[in-house]
Amino acid sequence: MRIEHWVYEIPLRLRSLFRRSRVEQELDEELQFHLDRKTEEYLAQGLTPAQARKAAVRAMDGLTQCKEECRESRGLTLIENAVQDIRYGLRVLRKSPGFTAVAVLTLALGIGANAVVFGILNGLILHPLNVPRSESLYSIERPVTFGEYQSYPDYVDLRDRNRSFDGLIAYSISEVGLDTGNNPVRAWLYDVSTNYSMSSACNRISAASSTPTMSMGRTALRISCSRTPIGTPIFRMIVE
Amino acid sequence: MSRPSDLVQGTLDLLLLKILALEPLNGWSISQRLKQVSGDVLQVSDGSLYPALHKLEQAGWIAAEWKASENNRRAKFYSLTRLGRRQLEKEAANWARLSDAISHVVQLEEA
Repeated sequence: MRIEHWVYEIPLRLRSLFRRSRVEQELDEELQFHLDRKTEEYLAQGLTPAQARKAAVRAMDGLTQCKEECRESRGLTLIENAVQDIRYGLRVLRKSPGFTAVAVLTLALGIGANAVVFGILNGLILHPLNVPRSESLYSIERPVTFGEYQSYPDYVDLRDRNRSFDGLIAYSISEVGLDTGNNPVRAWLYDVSTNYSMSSACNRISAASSTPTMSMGRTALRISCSRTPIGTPIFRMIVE
Repeated sequence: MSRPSDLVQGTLDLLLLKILALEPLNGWSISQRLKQVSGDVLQVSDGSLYPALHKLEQAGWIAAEWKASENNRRAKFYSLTRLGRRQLEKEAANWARLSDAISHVVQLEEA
């Protein structure tokens, strides 16, 4: 029943929307036909042509109003009004370029800031780290007054005497130049302690260097095992 | 020149559907026929007739076609669709129920 209704309604609506001048012309013609007949009727009653014509229009409660009500019955005034409003808005904006520039800039900054904040929120809170039981993953830091970095021997002490966690890993981030055969590019270097592979994360990284690592969507390019100048065993991960 | 409020609300659709069920007519003839069959009691203003026709057409109950009129001018003729025939049956049944109920109330005798 509903479908049959749409079979009639959709072509009519499309016609009203895309063949507007045709539909308008038909509306004119339809009402004109009625007005002419009505005028003839009043003429036969003895009115002058001008009076008869006026009376016929009055009987229709005004030609313009009648047309408007017919358009409303077709249910398109909403779309038409919206299109008109948009056109009007664009005209006004074109007239005052200064205001337009400020408005666009404000919107751009607002949307940009929102996108950044949401991006961070999305990465850190809505999509937590891609490791098992990431809710029990903690970061141990010292107050900044002691310097930003932990020393490696401190880490070793903490790791060996740890009874609160399954394990402790250490990492340090630095920037390196990476020669890819073309131009050298800037890359991030992660030095991590050898027990970094406590979870299977590190194995995953080694298995497919093009898959995102656990470090927020970055791609590991090269992983190597080596010792620092003071003999600390580390994994080195270069990520882009 | 009567206003639509002279008609019970919603009955204009029923009247138009019924008139068009008898034969396809143009707007002008519909207005004449309405006056004629109701003995001038039901007068629908021209201003509310055409929006009502367009609404019925939009609903798919009547379909329009341009044809030559009696005086050989092009006129828009409306005819009932299959969907409109079903709607007419429904509205006629509703009207019968409503007018029966009101007649009963009006004919109640005072105790």
